[in-house]
Order: sequence, then structure tokens, then C-alpha cells
Amino acid sequence: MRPGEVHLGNDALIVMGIYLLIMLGLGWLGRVRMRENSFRDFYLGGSSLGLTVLFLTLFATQYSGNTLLGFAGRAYQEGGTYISSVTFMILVITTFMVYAPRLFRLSRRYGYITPADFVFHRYGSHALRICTVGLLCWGLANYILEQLVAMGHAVVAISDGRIPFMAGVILLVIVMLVYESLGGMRSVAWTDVVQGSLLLVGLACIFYLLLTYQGGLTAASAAIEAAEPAKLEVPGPEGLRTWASNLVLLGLGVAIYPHAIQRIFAARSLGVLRRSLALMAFMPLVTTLLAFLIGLVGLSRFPGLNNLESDRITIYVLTSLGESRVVHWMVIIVFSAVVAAIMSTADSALLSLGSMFTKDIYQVYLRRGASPGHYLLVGKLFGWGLMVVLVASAWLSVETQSSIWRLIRLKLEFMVQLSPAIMLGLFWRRLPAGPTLLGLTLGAVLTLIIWVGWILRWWDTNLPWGVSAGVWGLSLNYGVCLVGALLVREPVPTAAWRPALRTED
Amino acid sequence: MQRRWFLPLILLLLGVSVPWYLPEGFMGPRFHGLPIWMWVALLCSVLVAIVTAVMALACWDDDEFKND
Repeated sequence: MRPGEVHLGNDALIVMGIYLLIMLGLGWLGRVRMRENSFRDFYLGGSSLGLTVLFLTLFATQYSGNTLLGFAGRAYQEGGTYISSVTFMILVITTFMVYAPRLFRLSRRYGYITPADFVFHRYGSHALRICTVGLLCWGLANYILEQLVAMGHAVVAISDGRIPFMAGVILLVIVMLVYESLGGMRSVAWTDVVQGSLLLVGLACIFYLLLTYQGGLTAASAAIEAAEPAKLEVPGPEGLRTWASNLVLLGLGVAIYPHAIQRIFAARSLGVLRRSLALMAFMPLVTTLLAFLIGLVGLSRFPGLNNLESDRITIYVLTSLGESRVVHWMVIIVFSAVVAAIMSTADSALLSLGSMFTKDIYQVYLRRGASPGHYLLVGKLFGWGLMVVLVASAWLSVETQSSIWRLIRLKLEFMVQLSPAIMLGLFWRRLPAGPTLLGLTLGAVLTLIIWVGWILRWWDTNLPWGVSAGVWGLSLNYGVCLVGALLVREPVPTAAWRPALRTED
Repeated sequence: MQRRWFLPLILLLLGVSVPWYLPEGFMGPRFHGLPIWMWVALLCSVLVAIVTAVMALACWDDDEFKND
């Protein structure tokens, strides 16, 4: 059977139309419920998110188009070793568990809106704040770009190719921008409730289909063993080092995403936050694990796909299932869930980008003392302008045949360099701004050198000794921070930070 | 401190999840189609999730946050 042989017909388009109208309705409702024109109300929903909303918005935001499309594609390429994706997505929540409680308390006391608010408060360094915003914006812009590419693939599949790639991207982006501009975080969180619920239902359908689909996993595994047995075998030493390196890179890097950190700030209380995180710890078992299994089933059914095609393996597997009426509707639900996962991640990332530009750059360095309404308008305009650039970039990335996985690696490897500034900075009082900034810079430069050298073919890998460039950079980064903190006699902590430490004692 | 066991236990589980102790090319017995080493990695992931959830629900010292 060739990919995409079974068509979903008009039913899928009708479901998608209803879904988009519900999103716009929730955006309007978020606008009606806005309490005031302030950063906290627009970007953090007034820090009033309860357990259900916080859990579903964390869930819908963390699991994206990349999880269902990119991760499945990676499992297709790597085979069994990509079971590590389940571990590192759980590890992300473990990392949150280590630093979120303290950051939550400080955010309540000092009114943080963005992660850079904490960084500036902690270190008192403008250079470090600008570097933090720069790295986070780079990572988020890349992340949104990856969601846009996934959006295009999903719409083409749902419409049986009747809606072209770019038209689908533009339609979904406009809907997303409208509901986000109407109510900010409140609208985004409420749409996340629908999107997260839809995703859970869709995942249940995938689980049923995978176990019953033409012999299930056992048949798929037998086919892989016959064609490509190496993909079911324990890897060699270099493969094992790459596995461990991925645990570090993704376990720490994904926990730095600013839109996830802002959900810590948006929680109604500590109790709500910790119960949400406890639930989130198990979510990779019903999301990432299923994406991994889709990749294996796809490998058994559609062998020989190249990197770009393998990013579409979820779509190929799902469109080859629609043999009965029930399965047909299940596949439509799953596709709607894929679109929901993509939109819920992209809208959160965009809101976060707007908040960082407005709060950390525009308000501080470009125009002080304007009204809250002015800043919120600037944030929305920035979001609309940025999306124009990113939609154009999505078109270019498809034209240049860039793989989704490559984009993720590029952003995480830079963003993870902020881990010492945020995580170490929260717990180690002696860490001063100078070595932190130097470590961050050297770590990012080393990562860049390894990548650029690989792209320019100065060397033949971006994984020296099997370890990712970002982890090499991070090792240097932590080393500079540790040695620097012992050598530099900088007055630490900063005057602004001292009251925070006193209240912790 | 009640959270002392947390990081060593997580690191131990992560260490076991990566099959460095098995020879290259090993597949072993299979269960529901997946080789045993994948089930070990999956089991370790489940245990990391359980430890994390227990940590979130039972070991966060709420007194630390009573002034919030």
C-alpha cells in the first residue's frame, strides 16, 4: 500500500472547520473575561490557572506537532534506540521538579513575567538579560517554524491535498493569531483545554489502532527484523554515548522553554503546580511512547523513506488505516488532534516571544513609561510581524528540504546553554554574573563552531565522539561557571537578589 | 533532608535505562514484538516518572513556601 492511498473526504474538512470556529469562540471568551490591561493578566492569565486548565495547557504545550510527526520520524530512522525519547520527556518534568518550586515562589514575591525577569533580578546584568532573551527568542522562533512546517503537512493530509501546503499554514496561523490577540494567555490556556482533550482522545485512538492494525507490534517487529535487524539491536559504544547525550540535551533543554516556565508563573498556587507536574510525569507514556511505536509500525510498512519523508510517517501510517467507517472517524479525530497539538504549542511559543520582546527589550531599552495598553499592542504587533517572517521561512525550509529533527537540534543546543544561569543560579548563591555570562557565551560559541564546521564539511559529524555539540558546549559552560565562581571576587549576590535570599533562610 | 535520595535514584535509573552493559548487536528475547532491552529502558522510564510524581506530591516541603 502506498502512503496516502485512503482519503478522508469532506468529513475531515467539516470537523476541522468546527474545530477552528470553537478556537475563535474561546479566543473571544478570553477577551470578555480579561480583568485589566496588564502584563500579568495578558501574558500569565492573571496567574489564576487551576489544576485542570494548568495541566491541560502544560500537556498541550509540551506535546506538539513535533512529538507526533518529528519523533515518529526519528523513531523510523533510528529504530529501537529512540525509546530514549520516552525517558528524556519524563526527565524534562523531573528537571522542572527540581527548580520549579523555588522559581514559583520567587515569581510570586517579585512579580516575574518572563524568565529574563528572574535572570536580571538574580544577576543584575543587562548583558546577561539580553543574551538570555536572544537565546530564548532564537529557540522559540525556530520552534514555531517547526510547528508551521508540521501544520502544512497535516492540512495537506486532512484535505487529501485539496488545500495546498502554504494555504493551510496561512489559514491556521491567522486563526491562531486572532484568538491569541483577543485574550492572551487566558485564551491560549482555554483553547489548550480543548486541544489537550482532543489530543488525549486522539492518542487513545492511535493506541487502539496500533494494537489491532494488521498483527500489531509483533507483526511489525518481525518485518523489521527481516529487513533491518540492526534497528532492533543494542547500539555500539558511539550510539550509547549519543543516547546518554540526548538524555542530557533534551532533559535539560526542553525544561528551559520560556512558555513552559511562564506556566509555572501562571499557576494559581503551589499545590496546583505540583499536582499538575505529578500528572505530567506520566504523559510521555501515552504520547512519546505512541509516537515511537508509530515510527516502528511505519518502518515495517513503508521501508526506504528518506529523512524528509520519514517526518510524514505518522500521516502515512494513519492514512493507510481507514478501511472501515469507525477507523475512518478515528483517523479524522487523530488528525484533528495532530493539528490541535501543533496549534497549542505554536500559540504558546508566540505569546511567550511577544512577552519577552515587549517586557525585556521594548519596555526596558526602547520606550520606558508608556501605558500598559501601548505595550500590549506592541507585543501583538510584534507577534503578527514575526509570523509573517516565519511563514515565509517555513516555505523556504520546505523548498530546501530541511528535516524537522535538524531544526529541533539546532534550537535546543543553543537554548540549553541557559541552564547554568537559571538552574545553578537558583540554588548556588556564589555564582556571579561575569562567569555565568562568559560560560554561556563560550558554550554557545563552541556549539556553533561544531555545527558550522560540520555544515562546511571541515569535519564529518556534528556529534564528536557521539556526543551532541550542545552537550560539549554545556560542559564547557558549566566548567567556566564553576571555576569562575571560585576565582572571581565579584560581590555576590547582587543587591536586588539579597532580600530574596534572606527570605529563603 | 528528605529529598537526598531523589537525585541518586534518578541517576541510577537513567544509568540502567541506557544498555551499556549489553554487547553490541544484542537483541535477546522479545515480548509483544519488542526486544527485552527496550522493555528495560521503558521500565526505567516508568520508575523515573513514579519517583518524580512521588517527589511532587509527597516530598515538596510546603513549609518552605508558607510565606507565599
